[in-house]
Amino acid sequence: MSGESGRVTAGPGGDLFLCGWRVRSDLVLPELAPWNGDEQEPDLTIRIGAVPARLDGALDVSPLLQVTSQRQARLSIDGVASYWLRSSHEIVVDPQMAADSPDIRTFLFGTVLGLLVHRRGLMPLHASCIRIGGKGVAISGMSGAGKSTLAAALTRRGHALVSDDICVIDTGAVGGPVVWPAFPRVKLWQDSLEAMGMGSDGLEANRFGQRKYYLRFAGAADFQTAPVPLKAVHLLRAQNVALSGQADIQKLSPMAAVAGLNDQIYRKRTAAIWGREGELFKAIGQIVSAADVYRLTRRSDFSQLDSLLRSIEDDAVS
Amino acid sequence: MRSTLSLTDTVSRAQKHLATEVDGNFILMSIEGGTYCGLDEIASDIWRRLARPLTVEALCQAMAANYRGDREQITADVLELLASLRDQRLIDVG
Repeated sequence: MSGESGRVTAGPGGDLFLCGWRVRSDLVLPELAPWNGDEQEPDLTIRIGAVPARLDGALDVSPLLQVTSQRQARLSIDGVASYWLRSSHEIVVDPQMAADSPDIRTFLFGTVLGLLVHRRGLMPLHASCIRIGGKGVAISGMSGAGKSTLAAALTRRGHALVSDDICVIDTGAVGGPVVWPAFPRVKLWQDSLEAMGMGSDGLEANRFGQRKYYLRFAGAADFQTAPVPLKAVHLLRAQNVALSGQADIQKLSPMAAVAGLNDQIYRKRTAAIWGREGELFKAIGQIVSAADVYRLTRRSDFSQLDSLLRSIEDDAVS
Repeated sequence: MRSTLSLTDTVSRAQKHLATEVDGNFILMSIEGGTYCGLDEIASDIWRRLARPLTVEALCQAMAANYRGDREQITADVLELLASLRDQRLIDVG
Protein backbone atom coordinates (compact mmCIF):
# COMPACT_ATOMS: atom_id res chain seq x y z
CA MET A 1 0.00 0.00 0.00
CA SER A 2 1.47 3.35 -0.94
CA GLY A 3 0.98 6.64 0.81
CA GLU A 4 -1.09 7.99 -2.08
CA SER A 5 -3.91 5.57 -1.42
CA GLY A 6 -4.66 7.47 1.75
CA ARG A 7 -3.59 4.84 4.28
CA VAL A 8 -1.98 6.19 7.40
CA THR A 9 1.61 5.06 7.42
CA ALA A 10 4.68 6.20 9.27
CA GLY A 11 7.09 7.02 6.45
CA PRO A 12 6.35 8.60 3.11
CA GLY A 13 6.98 5.25 1.43
CA GLY A 14 4.74 3.31 3.79
CA ASP A 15 5.59 0.24 5.83
CA LEU A 16 8.49 -2.01 5.01
CA PHE A 17 9.38 -5.69 4.83
CA LEU A 18 12.10 -7.35 6.89
CA CYS A 19 12.30 -11.11 7.49
CA GLY A 20 8.55 -11.51 7.16
CA TRP A 21 7.77 -8.71 9.58
CA ARG A 22 5.82 -5.60 8.79
CA VAL A 23 8.10 -2.74 9.84
CA ARG A 24 7.07 0.82 10.61
CA SER A 25 10.07 3.09 10.98
CA ASP A 26 10.90 6.68 11.87
CA LEU A 27 14.33 6.08 10.38
CA VAL A 28 14.63 6.10 6.62
CA LEU A 29 15.57 2.52 5.62
CA PRO A 30 16.23 2.56 1.86
CA GLU A 31 17.55 -1.03 1.95
CA LEU A 32 14.22 -2.53 2.83
CA ALA A 33 11.57 -3.62 0.35
CA PRO A 34 8.07 -2.14 0.73
CA TRP A 35 5.47 -4.13 2.65
CA ASN A 36 3.12 -5.80 0.21
CA GLY A 37 1.50 -8.25 2.59
CA ASP A 38 -1.67 -8.27 4.66
CA GLU A 39 -3.36 -5.33 6.29
CA GLN A 40 -1.94 -6.35 9.64
CA GLU A 41 -0.58 -4.27 12.46
CA PRO A 42 3.19 -3.68 12.27
CA ASP A 43 5.29 -6.48 13.83
CA LEU A 44 8.12 -4.11 14.49
CA THR A 45 8.29 -0.39 15.14
CA ILE A 46 11.59 1.47 14.88
CA ARG A 47 11.35 4.78 16.71
CA ILE A 48 13.75 7.67 17.02
CA GLY A 49 13.85 8.57 20.69
CA ALA A 50 15.81 8.68 23.90
CA VAL A 51 17.70 5.58 24.98
CA PRO A 52 18.49 5.21 28.69
CA ALA A 53 22.18 5.19 29.59
CA ARG A 54 21.70 2.07 31.67
CA LEU A 55 19.04 -0.64 31.40
CA ASP A 56 17.65 -1.97 34.69
CA GLY A 57 19.62 -4.99 35.85
CA ALA A 58 21.82 -4.89 32.76
CA LEU A 59 24.77 -7.18 32.24
CA ASP A 60 27.70 -5.88 30.18
CA VAL A 61 28.41 -8.30 27.36
CA SER A 62 30.98 -5.81 26.08
CA PRO A 63 31.72 -2.12 26.74
CA LEU A 64 29.22 -1.39 23.94
CA LEU A 65 26.47 -3.89 24.71
CA GLN A 66 24.20 -4.23 27.74
CA VAL A 67 21.64 -7.01 27.96
CA THR A 68 19.03 -7.88 30.58
CA SER A 69 17.44 -11.15 31.63
CA GLN A 70 14.13 -9.76 30.30
CA ARG A 71 15.74 -9.93 26.88
CA GLN A 72 16.23 -6.24 26.40
CA ALA A 73 19.48 -4.91 24.95
CA ARG A 74 21.25 -1.60 24.56
CA LEU A 75 24.00 -1.08 22.01
CA SER A 76 25.98 2.13 21.95
CA ILE A 77 28.30 3.08 19.09
CA ASP A 78 30.13 6.28 19.90
CA GLY A 79 29.42 9.03 17.39
CA VAL A 80 26.88 6.90 15.51
CA ALA A 81 23.84 6.00 17.64
CA SER A 82 22.49 4.23 20.69
CA TYR A 83 20.01 1.40 20.12
CA TRP A 84 17.51 -0.05 22.55
CA LEU A 85 15.89 -3.38 21.80
CA ARG A 86 12.94 -2.76 24.06
CA SER A 87 10.68 -5.66 23.14
CA SER A 88 10.27 -8.09 20.27
CA HIS A 89 8.14 -5.37 18.63
CA GLU A 90 10.06 -2.20 19.33
CA ILE A 91 13.52 -0.76 18.69
CA VAL A 92 14.39 2.77 19.82
CA VAL A 93 17.28 4.52 18.07
CA ASP A 94 18.98 7.66 19.35
CA PRO A 95 21.18 8.93 16.49
CA GLN A 96 24.33 10.91 17.18
CA MET A 97 24.73 11.83 13.51
CA ALA A 98 22.38 12.58 10.63
CA ALA A 99 19.52 10.06 10.95
CA ASP A 100 19.84 9.00 7.31
CA SER A 101 23.54 8.10 7.61
CA PRO A 102 24.28 4.55 6.44
CA ASP A 103 26.46 4.00 9.53
CA ILE A 104 23.34 4.01 11.69
CA ARG A 105 21.82 1.22 9.60
CA THR A 106 25.03 -0.82 9.66
CA PHE A 107 24.55 -1.53 13.36
CA LEU A 108 20.76 -1.66 13.16
CA PHE A 109 21.00 -4.40 10.53
CA GLY A 110 23.93 -6.02 12.36
CA THR A 111 23.98 -6.62 16.10
CA VAL A 112 20.53 -5.13 16.75
CA LEU A 113 18.83 -7.27 14.10
CA GLY A 114 20.70 -10.34 15.34
CA LEU A 115 19.48 -9.79 18.89
CA LEU A 116 15.93 -9.16 17.66
CA VAL A 117 16.05 -12.48 15.81
CA HIS A 118 17.06 -14.21 19.05
CA ARG A 119 14.34 -12.36 20.91
CA ARG A 120 11.78 -13.57 18.39
CA GLY A 121 12.86 -17.19 18.85
CA LEU A 122 14.49 -17.68 15.45
CA MET A 123 18.02 -18.71 14.48
CA PRO A 124 20.39 -16.01 13.21
CA LEU A 125 23.27 -17.68 11.40
CA HIS A 126 26.34 -15.62 10.53
CA ALA A 127 25.80 -16.16 6.81
CA SER A 128 24.72 -14.63 3.55
CA CYS A 129 22.02 -16.46 1.63
CA ILE A 130 21.27 -16.82 -2.06
CA ARG A 131 18.27 -18.32 -3.82
CA ILE A 132 19.41 -20.89 -6.37
CA GLY A 133 16.70 -22.77 -8.23
CA GLY A 134 14.12 -21.87 -5.61
CA LYS A 135 16.27 -23.16 -2.73
CA GLY A 136 18.24 -21.27 -0.12
CA VAL A 137 22.01 -21.64 -0.12
CA ALA A 138 23.70 -20.07 2.89
CA ILE A 139 27.36 -19.08 2.86
CA SER A 140 28.62 -18.87 6.40
CA GLY A 141 31.81 -17.66 7.96
CA MET A 142 33.44 -15.10 10.18
CA SER A 143 33.60 -11.46 9.11
CA GLY A 144 36.16 -11.14 6.34
CA ALA A 145 35.90 -14.80 5.31
CA GLY A 146 34.34 -13.73 2.01
CA LYS A 147 30.69 -14.69 2.37
CA SER A 148 29.38 -11.36 1.06
CA THR A 149 31.79 -11.53 -1.86
CA LEU A 150 30.65 -15.00 -2.86
CA ALA A 151 27.02 -13.99 -2.40
CA ALA A 152 27.50 -10.94 -4.61
CA ALA A 153 29.30 -13.01 -7.24
CA LEU A 154 26.40 -15.48 -7.27
CA THR A 155 23.89 -12.66 -7.77
CA ARG A 156 25.91 -11.59 -10.80
CA ARG A 157 25.22 -15.04 -12.21
CA GLY A 158 21.49 -14.41 -11.96
CA HIS A 159 20.61 -15.70 -8.51
CA ALA A 160 18.62 -13.59 -6.07
CA LEU A 161 20.03 -12.37 -2.79
CA VAL A 162 18.00 -13.51 0.21
CA SER A 163 20.08 -11.97 3.00
CA ASP A 164 23.53 -10.64 3.73
CA ASP A 165 25.63 -11.36 6.82
CA ILE A 166 22.73 -12.51 9.01
CA CYS A 167 20.69 -15.43 7.72
CA VAL A 168 17.41 -15.69 9.62
CA ILE A 169 16.27 -19.30 9.80
CA ASP A 170 12.96 -20.64 11.10
CA THR A 171 13.62 -24.31 11.86
CA GLY A 172 10.06 -24.85 13.07
CA ALA A 173 8.44 -24.23 9.70
CA VAL A 174 6.18 -26.97 8.33
CA GLY A 175 8.21 -28.91 5.78
CA GLY A 176 11.59 -28.05 7.25
CA PRO A 177 13.88 -25.07 7.91
CA VAL A 178 13.27 -21.92 5.85
CA VAL A 179 15.24 -18.73 5.42
CA TRP A 180 13.37 -15.43 5.77
CA PRO A 181 14.49 -12.88 3.18
CA ALA A 182 15.95 -9.74 4.75
CA PHE A 183 16.67 -7.13 2.08
CA PRO A 184 18.37 -6.94 -1.32
CA ARG A 185 21.65 -5.38 -0.29
CA VAL A 186 25.10 -6.79 0.28
CA LYS A 187 28.17 -5.29 1.98
CA LEU A 188 31.43 -5.58 0.09
CA TRP A 189 35.03 -4.69 0.70
CA GLN A 190 37.01 -2.70 -1.81
CA ASP A 191 39.27 -5.65 -2.68
CA SER A 192 36.25 -7.87 -3.26
CA LEU A 193 34.83 -5.33 -5.69
CA GLU A 194 38.14 -5.32 -7.50
CA ALA A 195 38.27 -9.13 -7.62
CA MET A 196 34.91 -9.04 -9.41
CA GLY A 197 36.03 -6.26 -11.71
CA MET A 198 33.70 -3.71 -10.13
CA GLY A 199 34.54 -0.23 -8.92
CA SER A 200 33.19 1.49 -5.84
CA ASP A 201 32.06 4.61 -7.74
CA GLY A 202 28.49 5.52 -7.01
CA LEU A 203 28.19 3.10 -4.11
CA GLU A 204 27.34 4.29 -0.66
CA ALA A 205 30.14 3.84 1.86
CA ASN A 206 29.40 2.76 5.40
CA ARG A 207 31.51 3.49 8.49
CA PHE A 208 33.08 6.70 7.25
CA GLY A 209 36.80 6.22 6.67
CA GLN A 210 36.67 2.43 6.52
CA ARG A 211 37.21 0.70 3.23
CA LYS A 212 33.87 -1.04 3.23
CA TYR A 213 31.06 -0.36 0.82
CA TYR A 214 27.40 -0.96 0.45
CA LEU A 215 26.29 -2.34 -2.83
CA ARG A 216 22.66 -1.77 -3.52
CA PHE A 217 21.39 -4.10 -6.20
CA ALA A 218 19.59 -2.73 -9.19
CA GLY A 219 17.61 -5.96 -9.14
CA ALA A 220 15.91 -4.97 -5.91
CA ALA A 221 12.58 -5.00 -7.75
CA ASP A 222 13.02 -8.78 -8.14
CA PHE A 223 13.38 -9.26 -4.40
CA GLN A 224 11.00 -11.95 -3.23
CA THR A 225 9.57 -11.94 0.26
CA ALA A 226 8.45 -15.57 0.53
CA PRO A 227 10.51 -17.79 2.85
CA VAL A 228 12.98 -20.06 1.06
CA PRO A 229 13.58 -23.73 2.00
CA LEU A 230 17.18 -24.11 3.17
CA LYS A 231 19.01 -26.57 0.92
CA ALA A 232 22.69 -26.10 1.67
CA VAL A 233 25.08 -24.33 4.02
CA HIS A 234 28.68 -23.69 3.00
CA LEU A 235 31.03 -23.05 5.91
CA LEU A 236 33.60 -20.77 4.40
CA ARG A 237 37.28 -20.90 5.21
CA ALA A 238 39.84 -18.70 3.50
CA GLN A 239 43.19 -20.28 2.85
CA ASN A 240 46.51 -18.72 2.12
CA VAL A 241 47.38 -19.00 -1.55
CA ALA A 242 50.87 -20.20 -0.74
CA LEU A 243 49.50 -23.18 1.19
CA SER A 244 46.62 -24.15 -1.00
CA GLY A 245 46.10 -25.67 -4.34
CA GLN A 246 42.57 -25.90 -5.61
CA ALA A 247 39.53 -24.39 -4.03
CA ASP A 248 37.64 -27.21 -2.42
CA ILE A 249 34.13 -28.14 -1.30
CA GLN A 250 33.66 -31.08 1.07
CA LYS A 251 30.43 -32.42 2.50
CA LEU A 252 30.60 -32.69 6.28
CA SER A 253 29.52 -35.53 8.55
CA PRO A 254 26.54 -34.74 10.80
CA MET A 255 28.78 -34.16 13.81
CA ALA A 256 31.19 -31.88 11.95
CA ALA A 257 28.20 -30.05 10.48
CA VAL A 258 26.64 -29.50 13.91
CA ALA A 259 29.96 -28.31 15.36
CA GLY A 260 30.58 -26.02 12.39
CA LEU A 261 27.13 -24.44 12.51
CA ASN A 262 27.28 -24.05 16.27
CA ASP A 263 30.31 -21.80 15.77
CA GLN A 264 28.36 -19.58 13.38
CA ILE A 265 25.39 -18.62 15.55
CA TYR A 266 25.26 -14.84 15.42
CA ARG A 267 25.62 -13.05 18.81
CA LYS A 268 25.78 -16.37 20.61
CA ARG A 269 27.00 -14.96 23.93
CA THR A 270 23.89 -12.88 24.35
CA ALA A 271 21.76 -15.82 23.25
CA ALA A 272 23.37 -17.92 26.01
CA ILE A 273 22.63 -15.21 28.58
CA TRP A 274 19.04 -15.30 27.38
CA GLY A 275 18.96 -19.06 27.93
CA ARG A 276 18.69 -20.04 24.26
CA GLU A 277 21.64 -22.47 24.05
CA GLY A 278 19.53 -25.61 24.29
CA GLU A 279 16.90 -24.58 21.74
CA LEU A 280 19.52 -23.25 19.32
CA PHE A 281 21.46 -26.51 19.49
CA LYS A 282 18.26 -28.43 18.75
CA ALA A 283 17.58 -26.07 15.85
CA ILE A 284 21.03 -26.84 14.44
CA GLY A 285 20.16 -30.53 14.42
CA GLN A 286 17.02 -29.73 12.44
CA ILE A 287 19.09 -27.75 9.94
CA VAL A 288 21.64 -30.56 9.55
CA SER A 289 18.83 -33.11 9.13
CA ALA A 290 17.27 -31.10 6.31
CA ALA A 291 20.18 -29.37 4.55
CA ASP A 292 23.59 -30.39 3.25
CA VAL A 293 26.50 -28.76 5.07
CA TYR A 294 29.82 -28.28 3.29
CA ARG A 295 33.24 -27.03 4.24
CA LEU A 296 34.24 -24.63 1.50
CA THR A 297 37.87 -23.66 1.27
CA ARG A 298 38.58 -20.78 -1.03
CA ARG A 299 41.83 -19.19 -2.08
CA SER A 300 42.33 -15.87 -0.37
CA ASP A 301 42.86 -14.05 -3.66
CA PHE A 302 39.53 -15.29 -5.04
CA SER A 303 41.17 -16.84 -8.08
CA GLN A 304 39.25 -19.87 -9.38
CA LEU A 305 36.12 -18.02 -8.35
CA ASP A 306 34.12 -19.21 -11.36
CA SER A 307 34.71 -22.90 -10.72
CA LEU A 308 33.81 -22.41 -7.07
CA LEU A 309 30.55 -20.70 -8.03
CA ARG A 310 29.68 -23.49 -10.43
CA SER A 311 30.24 -26.10 -7.71
CA ILE A 312 27.95 -24.20 -5.35
CA GLU A 313 25.29 -24.06 -8.06
CA ASP A 314 25.64 -27.78 -8.82
CA ASP A 315 25.28 -28.74 -5.16
CA ALA A 316 22.21 -26.53 -4.82
CA VAL A 317 20.26 -28.35 -7.50
CA SER A 318 21.58 -31.88 -6.90
CA MET B 1 42.63 -46.96 32.29
CA ARG B 2 39.57 -45.07 33.38
CA SER B 3 37.53 -46.57 36.16
CA THR B 4 34.55 -48.70 35.20
CA LEU B 5 31.05 -48.20 36.45
CA SER B 6 29.32 -50.65 38.71
CA LEU B 7 25.97 -52.26 37.93
CA THR B 8 24.50 -50.67 41.05
CA ASP B 9 25.47 -47.12 40.02
CA THR B 10 22.64 -44.78 39.11
CA VAL B 11 23.14 -42.89 35.87
CA SER B 12 21.34 -39.90 34.36
CA ARG B 13 21.94 -37.13 31.86
CA ALA B 14 24.18 -34.36 33.16
CA GLN B 15 22.52 -31.07 34.05
CA LYS B 16 24.76 -29.07 31.75
CA HIS B 17 24.84 -30.38 28.23
CA LEU B 18 23.42 -29.66 24.82
CA ALA B 19 21.71 -32.30 22.74
CA THR B 20 20.32 -32.35 19.25
CA GLU B 21 19.05 -35.00 16.86
CA VAL B 22 20.16 -35.46 13.27
CA ASP B 23 18.10 -38.09 11.46
CA GLY B 24 17.21 -39.72 14.77
CA ASN B 25 20.74 -39.94 16.15
CA PHE B 26 21.88 -37.70 18.97
CA ILE B 27 24.81 -35.33 18.86
CA LEU B 28 25.78 -34.08 22.29
CA MET B 29 27.95 -31.24 23.44
CA SER B 30 29.51 -30.84 26.80
CA ILE B 31 29.21 -27.18 27.75
CA GLU B 32 32.10 -27.38 30.20
CA GLY B 33 34.46 -29.25 27.93
CA GLY B 34 33.29 -27.78 24.64
CA THR B 35 33.55 -31.23 23.03
CA TYR B 36 31.07 -32.92 20.72
CA CYS B 37 29.98 -36.54 20.87
CA GLY B 38 28.02 -38.28 18.12
CA LEU B 39 25.88 -41.27 19.10
CA ASP B 40 24.91 -44.11 16.79
CA GLU B 41 21.44 -45.65 16.71
CA ILE B 42 21.90 -47.92 19.74
CA ALA B 43 23.74 -45.28 21.78
CA SER B 44 20.93 -42.84 20.93
CA ASP B 45 18.45 -45.36 22.31
CA ILE B 46 20.48 -45.50 25.52
CA TRP B 47 20.55 -41.70 25.67
CA ARG B 48 16.75 -41.60 25.43
CA ARG B 49 16.54 -44.03 28.35
CA LEU B 50 18.84 -41.79 30.39
CA ALA B 51 16.19 -39.05 30.47
CA ARG B 52 15.33 -40.38 33.93
CA PRO B 53 17.88 -41.70 36.45
CA LEU B 54 18.18 -45.48 36.44
CA THR B 55 20.66 -48.09 37.56
CA VAL B 56 23.24 -49.45 35.16
CA GLU B 57 21.76 -52.88 35.74
CA ALA B 58 18.26 -51.77 34.77
CA LEU B 59 19.67 -50.12 31.67
CA CYS B 60 21.55 -53.27 30.66
CA GLN B 61 18.44 -55.38 31.22
CA ALA B 62 16.37 -53.08 29.05
CA MET B 63 18.95 -53.17 26.28
CA ALA B 64 19.26 -56.97 26.45
CA ALA B 65 15.47 -57.21 26.17
CA ASN B 66 15.41 -55.01 23.08
CA TYR B 67 18.47 -56.10 21.17
CA ARG B 68 19.72 -59.48 20.10
CA GLY B 69 23.10 -60.41 21.39
CA ASP B 70 25.02 -61.89 24.19
CA ARG B 71 24.00 -60.43 27.54
CA GLU B 72 27.60 -60.14 28.70
CA GLN B 73 28.60 -58.36 25.52
CA ILE B 74 25.68 -55.95 25.78
CA THR B 75 26.61 -55.18 29.38
CA ALA B 76 30.22 -54.57 28.39
CA ASP B 77 29.16 -52.27 25.54
CA VAL B 78 26.78 -50.31 27.75
CA LEU B 79 29.45 -49.90 30.42
CA GLU B 80 31.95 -48.69 27.86
CA LEU B 81 29.52 -46.10 26.47
CA LEU B 82 28.56 -44.90 29.95
CA ALA B 83 32.21 -44.51 30.98
CA SER B 84 32.83 -42.48 27.86
CA LEU B 85 29.79 -40.26 28.49
CA ARG B 86 30.84 -39.82 32.09
CA ASP B 87 34.38 -38.84 31.08
CA GLN B 88 32.91 -36.22 28.75
CA ARG B 89 30.69 -35.03 31.63
CA LEU B 90 27.57 -35.81 29.67
CA ILE B 91 26.10 -38.05 32.38
CA ASP B 92 26.07 -38.00 36.16
CA VAL B 93 26.94 -41.19 38.02
CA GLY B 94 25.66 -41.51 41.58
